[in-house]
Amino acid sequence: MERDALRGLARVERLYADRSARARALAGEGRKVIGYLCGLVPQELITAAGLVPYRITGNPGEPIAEALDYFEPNACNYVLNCFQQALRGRYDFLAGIVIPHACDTVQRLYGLWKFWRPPDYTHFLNVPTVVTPEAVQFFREELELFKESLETFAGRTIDRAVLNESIGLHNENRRLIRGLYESRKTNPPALSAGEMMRLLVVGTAIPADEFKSLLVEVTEEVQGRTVSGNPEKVRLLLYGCIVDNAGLPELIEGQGGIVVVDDTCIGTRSFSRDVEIGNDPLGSLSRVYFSEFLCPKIVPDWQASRFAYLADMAHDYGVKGVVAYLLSWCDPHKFDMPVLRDYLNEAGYPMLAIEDDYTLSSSGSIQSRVQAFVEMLRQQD
Amino acid sequence: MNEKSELSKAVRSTETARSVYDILKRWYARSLLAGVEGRPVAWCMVGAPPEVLSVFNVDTSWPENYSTACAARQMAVPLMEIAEGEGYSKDLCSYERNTIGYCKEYLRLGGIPPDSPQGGMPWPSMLITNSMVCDPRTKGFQAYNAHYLKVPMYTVDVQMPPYGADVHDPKVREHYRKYNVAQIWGLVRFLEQQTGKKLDEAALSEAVKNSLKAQRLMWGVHELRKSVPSPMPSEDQFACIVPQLYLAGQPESVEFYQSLHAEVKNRVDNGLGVIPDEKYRVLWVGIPPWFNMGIFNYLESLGAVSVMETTYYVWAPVEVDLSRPVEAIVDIAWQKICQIHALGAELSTEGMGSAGLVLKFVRDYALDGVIFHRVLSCRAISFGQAHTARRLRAELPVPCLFLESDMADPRTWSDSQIKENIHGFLNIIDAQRP
Repeated sequence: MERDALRGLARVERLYADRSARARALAGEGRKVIGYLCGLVPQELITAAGLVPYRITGNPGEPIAEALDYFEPNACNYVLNCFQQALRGRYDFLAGIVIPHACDTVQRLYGLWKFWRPPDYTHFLNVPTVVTPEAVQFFREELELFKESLETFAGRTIDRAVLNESIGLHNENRRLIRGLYESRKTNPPALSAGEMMRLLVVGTAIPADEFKSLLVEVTEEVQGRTVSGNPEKVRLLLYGCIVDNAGLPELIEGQGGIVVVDDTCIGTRSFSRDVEIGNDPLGSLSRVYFSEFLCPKIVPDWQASRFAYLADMAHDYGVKGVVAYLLSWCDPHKFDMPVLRDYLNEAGYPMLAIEDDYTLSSSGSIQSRVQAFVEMLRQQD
Repeated sequence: MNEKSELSKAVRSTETARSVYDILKRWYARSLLAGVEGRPVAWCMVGAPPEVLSVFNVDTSWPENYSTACAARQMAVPLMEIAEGEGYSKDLCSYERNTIGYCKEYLRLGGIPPDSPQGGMPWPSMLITNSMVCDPRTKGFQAYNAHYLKVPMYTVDVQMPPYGADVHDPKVREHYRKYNVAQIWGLVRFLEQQTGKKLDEAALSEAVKNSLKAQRLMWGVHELRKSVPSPMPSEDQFACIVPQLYLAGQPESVEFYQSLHAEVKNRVDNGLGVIPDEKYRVLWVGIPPWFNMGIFNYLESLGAVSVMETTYYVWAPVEVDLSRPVEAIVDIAWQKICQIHALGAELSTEGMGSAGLVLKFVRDYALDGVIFHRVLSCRAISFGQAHTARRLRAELPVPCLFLESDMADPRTWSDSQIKENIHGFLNIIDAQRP
């Protein structure tokens, strides 16, 4: 276990400043760190194998350069950015990678990474597009293959008890995160969107047990806070694909809005459901990571009513509107946008769609649009 | 040589390729009649097995093909602009944007927009898509069904082994086979429900047999195209894909490829080339610009022939047990997957981005260069081009040219720049000749 003089949100700040430091240190101590992308990979299996799960992210401050020698320029800039980190040797501490079929670009990333920068361990997790009993069974078999490959790599059997123990640990983290989200239902929320985002991002880069102790510290700290601040900020729901840094929530906060809840990959999609502990842990993981997972890549139904959960979430958190963050060239999210916009409008939640190349380099224009949106929502009251 | 018009249709070399237009006319007319008579019409995405649809006597329209027709007649832009006005980003697949615009326009007018290419597509009674190759084929169908069509929809979810998988491991094969067979049976049940008919397995077996015959003939044509001079260029092949993609399993498709094979063989036997003086043999990688197929004739005016292409490639003929035709459809696909994996399959098991295939073609077709058409709104097909060029530089140096535009959106076409790039590319080939 890491020893650190800092506690709670102060420790989060330090970890966030150099997100991979802890994973690099663990790798230096001989622990095997496994990088994964997207919310479709069960970290419980990696933890159960005695390995350290680490969510691969990009560095939004870096323009895309050498990744374009391998990838097309009309590919998702987030994925290009992640791959560029690998090309620059920043993921050399990873003993392996697990990449799911989350979208066309992520699928192709697997082949490129494996071909040009192969770590010791590589695994691709196929994810069906539809949700049917056969698809659930297929994904379960994919998890079985994933488990076997981890066992071979780690030289360790993942039996039911070990897996259930790991599920219990990750569930505990989910429970603690949900508790922190509850604290954001107050007006103003007890925890800012930037603080929450930094905590979540840090949590994907350290072992699950260390994240748990961090969550406990942050929960105590937040519970001890006297809620103060500007209750006039307009409460917003942030919807989108990958938001893996605090830049956007803080930009929104600077314009009079405040993100109090989200539907994003690192946000609620990753922790809103617990994995059932029992006789069939792989079946339970299949439900949480596939059939109930809210990813536009998975098409359970074509009706617009599939977005009903968002209207419910908006209602629960008392939001006035929705900011959708879209990455350029992101087919799964962009095809959903007009239908989602119309659905939310009818439900009484106006939506602002922001398109970006992952860098927030046009933040001036984004700020203006957020400011105008917030003003419009304020006038609706 | 066509220096006057920036965008033009291709002049094709083979009579058989020119006859595709008649097939298209008959096929669209059948679907339109079905719509008028109230019979089931399915809008389908390439990858949905036409053999299964044909045995249920379901008439089909394929938005992908319709979008190429709109693009070829310079009628896609107004439809795409309608979709963009609805909030569908210009990044998104131009076929899907064209279709979304068509749906919206159909609803506005209360019927097929006047002057639609081939008479247009009748309003569908069902949608059938699949998850092969790209995300837009599921997401696009989902979007316009939710927004406009609101009809029953089935998605054939095809799962494929990743790069590096041991496709000869029976456990791996069974994992995928079981799932993909269930998907085709799911389509059968969906069609039984929509049409009230039961599957005629004997008829499906016959359709799959026809499909294999057509594929074998097409493969033979690809083999003949190794000849120097090239007997049949890419612009012809891009027309000849119509029966293969949309009418597979029908006797008409077999007859078409018999005719094509005979014509191409005759040209090879008599040394008839696409142009009299073939100076450069190039490979075309990617979907062509359907709005400007005349670019291939422009190449020919400079002595360059696109002798082969990777997209829509028919892999080597396979043998399967036809007594269980649903399973046979999956087994045929699996054997092709094995061929793709034998060449690498780093980027895509569908093979269209296979660097190994490009390397093989460069050798087998005596190529002087490779043209990569980077299709902006189709990431799935464009992916792998930079990787392939990188592998070519390392393993089999041959000049490469990247052209950037789109398959159906002519607003991406920069004529002078593209032509300048083509000239530069041919100069490099000249400079590198021994």
